[in-house]
Amino acid sequence: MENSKIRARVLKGDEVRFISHLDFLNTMNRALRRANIPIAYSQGYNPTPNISFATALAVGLTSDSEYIDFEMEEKMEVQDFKEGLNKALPKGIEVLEAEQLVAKSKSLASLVSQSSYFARLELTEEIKIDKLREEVANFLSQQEIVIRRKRRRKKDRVFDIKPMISKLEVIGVQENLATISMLVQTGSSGNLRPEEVIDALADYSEFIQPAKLVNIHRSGLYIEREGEILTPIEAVKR
Amino acid sequence: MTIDLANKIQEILPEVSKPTRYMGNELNMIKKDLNLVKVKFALAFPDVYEVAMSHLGIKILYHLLNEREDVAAERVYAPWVDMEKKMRENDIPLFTLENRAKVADFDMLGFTLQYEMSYTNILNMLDLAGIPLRSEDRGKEFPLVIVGGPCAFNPEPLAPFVDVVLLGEAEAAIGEVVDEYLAWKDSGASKEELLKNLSKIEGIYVPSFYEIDYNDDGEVVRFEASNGAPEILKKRVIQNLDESYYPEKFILPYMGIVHDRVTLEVARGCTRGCRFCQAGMIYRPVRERSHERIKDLARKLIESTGYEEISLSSLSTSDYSRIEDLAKELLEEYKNQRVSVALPSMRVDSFSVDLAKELQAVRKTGLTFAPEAGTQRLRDVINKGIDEEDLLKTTEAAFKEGWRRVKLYFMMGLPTETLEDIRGIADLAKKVAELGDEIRRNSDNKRRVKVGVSVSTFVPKTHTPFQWSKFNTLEEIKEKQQLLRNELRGKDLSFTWTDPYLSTMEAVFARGDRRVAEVMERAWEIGAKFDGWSEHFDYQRWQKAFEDLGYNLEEYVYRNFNLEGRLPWDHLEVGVDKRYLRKEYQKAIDVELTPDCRFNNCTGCGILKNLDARISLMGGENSGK
Ligand code: SF4
Repeated sequence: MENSKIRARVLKGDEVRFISHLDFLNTMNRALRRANIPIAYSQGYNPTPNISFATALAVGLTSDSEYIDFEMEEKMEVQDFKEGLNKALPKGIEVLEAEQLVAKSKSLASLVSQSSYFARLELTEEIKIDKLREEVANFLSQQEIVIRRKRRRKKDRVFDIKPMISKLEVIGVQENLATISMLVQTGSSGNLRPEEVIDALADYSEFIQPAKLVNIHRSGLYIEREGEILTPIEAVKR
Repeated sequence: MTIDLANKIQEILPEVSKPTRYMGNELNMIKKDLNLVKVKFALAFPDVYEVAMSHLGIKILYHLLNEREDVAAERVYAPWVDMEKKMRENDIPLFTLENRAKVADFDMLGFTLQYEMSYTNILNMLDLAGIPLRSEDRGKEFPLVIVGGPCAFNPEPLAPFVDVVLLGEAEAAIGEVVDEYLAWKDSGASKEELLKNLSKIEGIYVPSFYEIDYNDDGEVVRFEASNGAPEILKKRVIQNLDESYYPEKFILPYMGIVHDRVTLEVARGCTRGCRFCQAGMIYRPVRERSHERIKDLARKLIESTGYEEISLSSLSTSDYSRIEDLAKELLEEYKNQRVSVALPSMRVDSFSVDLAKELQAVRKTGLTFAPEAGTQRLRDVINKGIDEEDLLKTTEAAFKEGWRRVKLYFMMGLPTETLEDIRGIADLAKKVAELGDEIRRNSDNKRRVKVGVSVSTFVPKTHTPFQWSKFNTLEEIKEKQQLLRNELRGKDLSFTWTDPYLSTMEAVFARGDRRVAEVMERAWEIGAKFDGWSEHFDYQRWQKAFEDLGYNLEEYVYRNFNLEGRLPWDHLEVGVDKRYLRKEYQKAIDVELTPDCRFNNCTGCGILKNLDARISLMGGENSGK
């Protein structure tokens, strides 16, 4: 018999933004046990619930678009799943949407390719929104945007991130704070972190400060299919 | 005001390592409106979150105190050095996790004393809280500082810094302390009045009511109690463990902590009577919880936490009556939920490989045994009734069942020890390794065995038969460690040892008197904190602190304790007669064993008479239930 799966969109809110990916996973595992969800477990020495995340979120970021696939031992109504799990989850973590999934679907991690973020920029002085938009446009019109990424026990990687940025927009400016949104490449084929974009922007423009993780929120995670951009839940429904 | 503090804290969190340590808001945390309670009690643990959160005693007290509507108990732990730096830079005082409230505004501040090397953290935390270090400098506007826990049986090195010491099991006395505090708070009387009232409660020691002088050997030459305080202070115990309070919820941390599981205390106390072991003396008498109660608690705790492991804990879990039945029943009950059951603290002689096999199902993590000494003679001296055959039989069975990793714990520096005994450690370890290798070669499992030998340095502890014993000199320790490094060089062997300098400092505190307090304050002034963490421990700093006050560290730690003289902690009674300890000391020298009173006759330690207590073996078939 084939196990069933449930895909969920989960909130990682302000209360829990400092917990690491591993802590988030453990928190979820224990909530599943408290909620008595008939989750399937891995075989072997150390059985753990079969749940898989789309991507890991960096410590300090918040998100309303963490996608997780839950492999179930028994089929469960999504409504019951959502309610039951939400009752057991701590403040700041919440299942926002859930959808039944055919068991044999590809792993989330291999499907997702884009993330959108909102971020707050700190400006060195108060500037008009048009001025900031111009800065961003100029930034994007560069031939290439090269960054240096530090890696553990390996040489730094130096590469062009321009092709990885699909969108970068200024949404609003208030005093010396600006809100921007971006859509960038995510996932196993290449992953661009939002703070890297902001840091590159700060390097380029004298008006912009380097990134502070506190002010970044993931607002979406997407799958590209036949030229369409879909959320992982939309992708199930189609 | 508090909102302001909470915001300031929030702002620095992204800049420190492991901000989760200071976040609070964990599942099952109890957060009350501090304006609506009468007593605000800060429960402090002088180490980082991961260590502090693993401690059972604090969990019990936290939930017990919070059961009372008139009390709010909140947690506060030692901020790691990076956090401390940010706090000092930003004028953030020590705060509690629940309400992010200033610790200085609390009514009581309780520290649990689990490890001597965390004492400097207590001073540092007081300082961070903006609370004067010394009791005499703290008026009634500051929290009452109270300490308890195993090290509180020799609190003398902390005497000037604490207001009150609670001896023994806090859950037995804490309610009375809070009631007394409440009555005093409304009366408007002086702090001294409060201390006087508290000193009338059994088990409560107010160090400032005693004048103590010592001679150079460390003997007490003058001891005077004032303010009507008793000459002798007796510890408090819970009479019936089964009926005593145990939390049905644990705070579930977000980050991994040292003991990240449901800890179920199945019994308290140990009857084995190993002569080096302080826990074995201070937690007497033995009391067990019933199987029914344990199973009920397991259910509630798994339901409230979702933990994947239950650990049945006590000093010597394999001595618990019908432990096999209990473990198997729990295992069966939680099989579907994939909750595993662990039994730490198993003794070689009562260890069952069959049981271990069942508990670990397929998982063959390492097995740990503690023969403690390398030769039979020395094992008899310390009254560890284990013989070589037990160990070899048990490890053989384990290797045959497929285990490949065995860890052996030993001590060095024990009374009467010679290099022969040290060589015995290596010989025994080699025998185990050879046995394992032979079994491996004749089996399908070709993975090599690994025998880890861990040798710590014996530190004489108060209230034990070895409280009079000499502590090895640094040279002796180093020589013995070198010998073992040379001997334990086999393919399947590994050897770990403890820092001799750290052990020396532990020995200073373990039998320290009030003179150590000054030294400690000095050491803290010149930067000592987190001394239990090798990256922060600095022996030279301590040497300097001793020198600054006109003492010599090594002379102090090697001082001779006279069998007949009055010891600096003699006024603090754990219930075991000093006469008994002396007799046990003599028997050790004469290499004579004392049997376990669980299975044999009473050995006359005096505990039941002195504390008017009972041994209760609830887990047994004939329990009183
Ligand atoms: S068995 Fe020995 S070492 Fe272990 S707790 Fe009991 S007395 Fe202490």
